[in-house]
Amino acid sequence: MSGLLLTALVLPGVAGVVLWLSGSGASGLRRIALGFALPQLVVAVAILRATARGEILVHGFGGWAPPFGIVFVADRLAALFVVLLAVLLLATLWALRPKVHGEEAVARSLPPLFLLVFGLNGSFLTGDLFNLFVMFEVVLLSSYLLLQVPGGERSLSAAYPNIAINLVAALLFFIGVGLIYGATGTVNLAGIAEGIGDADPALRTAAIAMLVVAFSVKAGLIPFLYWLPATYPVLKGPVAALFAGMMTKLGVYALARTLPLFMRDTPIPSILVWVGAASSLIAVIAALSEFELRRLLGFHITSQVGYMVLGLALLSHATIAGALFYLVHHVLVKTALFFVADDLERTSETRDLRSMTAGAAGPAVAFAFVVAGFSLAGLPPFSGFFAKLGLLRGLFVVSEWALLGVLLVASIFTLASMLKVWLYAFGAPASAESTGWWSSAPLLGMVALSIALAVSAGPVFAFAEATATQLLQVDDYLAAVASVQDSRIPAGLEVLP
Amino acid sequence: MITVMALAVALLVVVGVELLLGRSLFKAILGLSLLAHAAHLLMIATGGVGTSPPVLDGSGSVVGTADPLPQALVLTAIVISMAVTLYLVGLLQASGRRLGASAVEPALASDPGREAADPGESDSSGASP
Repeated sequence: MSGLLLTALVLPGVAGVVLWLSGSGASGLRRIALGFALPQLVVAVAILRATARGEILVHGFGGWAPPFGIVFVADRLAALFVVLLAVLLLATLWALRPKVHGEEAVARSLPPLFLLVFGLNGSFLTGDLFNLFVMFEVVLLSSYLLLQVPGGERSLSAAYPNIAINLVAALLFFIGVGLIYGATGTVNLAGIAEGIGDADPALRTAAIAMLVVAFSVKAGLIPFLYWLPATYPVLKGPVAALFAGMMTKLGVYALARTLPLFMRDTPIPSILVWVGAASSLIAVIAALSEFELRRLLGFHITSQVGYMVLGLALLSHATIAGALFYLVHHVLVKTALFFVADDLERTSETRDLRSMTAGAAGPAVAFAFVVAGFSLAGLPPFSGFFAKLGLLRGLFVVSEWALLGVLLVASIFTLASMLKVWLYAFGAPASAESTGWWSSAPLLGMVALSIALAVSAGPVFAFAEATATQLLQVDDYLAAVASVQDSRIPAGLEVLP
Repeated sequence: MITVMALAVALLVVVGVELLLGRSLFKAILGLSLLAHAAHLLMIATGGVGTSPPVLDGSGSVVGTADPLPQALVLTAIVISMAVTLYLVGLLQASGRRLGASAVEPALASDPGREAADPGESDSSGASP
């Protein structure tokens, strides 16, 4: 079974290299890309099916066992992210069409896109803190390349703040890894969880604070969010949708992985709760004042990542389950909204809401916006309602009334900003020559998944609860990692402690 | 020895942050490199400072050796930071060509509602293959 983990990592890596080396045109490259993305989804679903039963898949690289070897671990949390990423990749490739987005842009986007997926899958599956750092860097480097695909002044001016802040965050991450190694003597996540209790409390807190700041930058939390709304509008539409869906979630994943594992006994989680609450409120107010559609949605990402981080950092079963369900909903709906924004910006040839006319984009786009936009705002019967209900129920269970209030106020602002987009962009009457339904197929696919999530909210929430249980039972994770057999160290050789 | 390392890290961070906060992209690249060096040096320091090579020569003694793992980790980090520095230099070159100056104003907030740049322009992305 552990070969699945290797396949999930190797497949996008090979795809990236093949796409880079193959000399075919944009549509040929896109066919190759789809040919790799479909098996990727199959592998991801296979991992999910295996882990859904409660099993934890482990793979020791090269036959080395920890603490010497690097392990890959897939539990329910990792499998959830890998599946969501595979779905988003497929939707992005479907939406990224040479005829619509330009031959050259598509041909240049595809190789770094797969390296990005390689980095993301590696981050989700690795059981080693230093390996996580390397995978973060792979993700960052591919995102720098993707940022330059549209070309022009805007790409250049957005690149500098993006790189500067992400690079500093990566260095903090690296320093954090160094301090953790100094404190516990290992960079294996399971090993850190075992050794962190005996470490010097001051060193431990400093190291964890470094890591949390690095993850918060990636997640776009307050006060580290400003690179995010400056970067995402520059990217090519469908690529921006993948970024919106998955890139900030890399930070959320890293927090979800490390918080229960080795950050529980520090004051960090209780600070992070309020960072999340502040993000959810302040970012949505910033969104309300924006007139550029994708910047507005960019601020919304921060706001909703704030919800998730708040739920995760409370470290109680009910709030983690709520946050994870919210994450699934958010990934699907946010991607759909970025697809909508891309369609609107292209058909009305402006980025400004005030001069936007949705008429040319067609009824399919309007329908998708209604479902996705009001789902984001949390109106029933869409998936956002169940997601918010789960999170609010979690806060109710742990009696965090102030946080509950913050989230409700933020929800009202979310609804207001979605109404603003609706009134500005879709207020004008539809024109006769609108684009067909088929060109909106990826968008409608994401919306259909969001509706399917609302319909099957029960089973998915049960999965989120099982994931939360597994996350809080750290011993299971440690036992799974410890079960890796070493096949490399010869019997006669004595290993020093 | 460890005090010297700590002071070196502090100095590199101070100079790096100072350079990074300026408005010139070239100085920012230098600043980021110095910050990276600070991080690498700190990582080396976590492995301790040894006087003899970390080789198991059969005597079974590892007294006086430094931990080699952080040094291996730093090697990886150096390669990564070199790749990023190369990208940044490419960026500097591209913006120099395009804007006619190496002192790029870090446009933190681009104008909301500005029209999309012409998609046909591609000469500016020097670092993208």
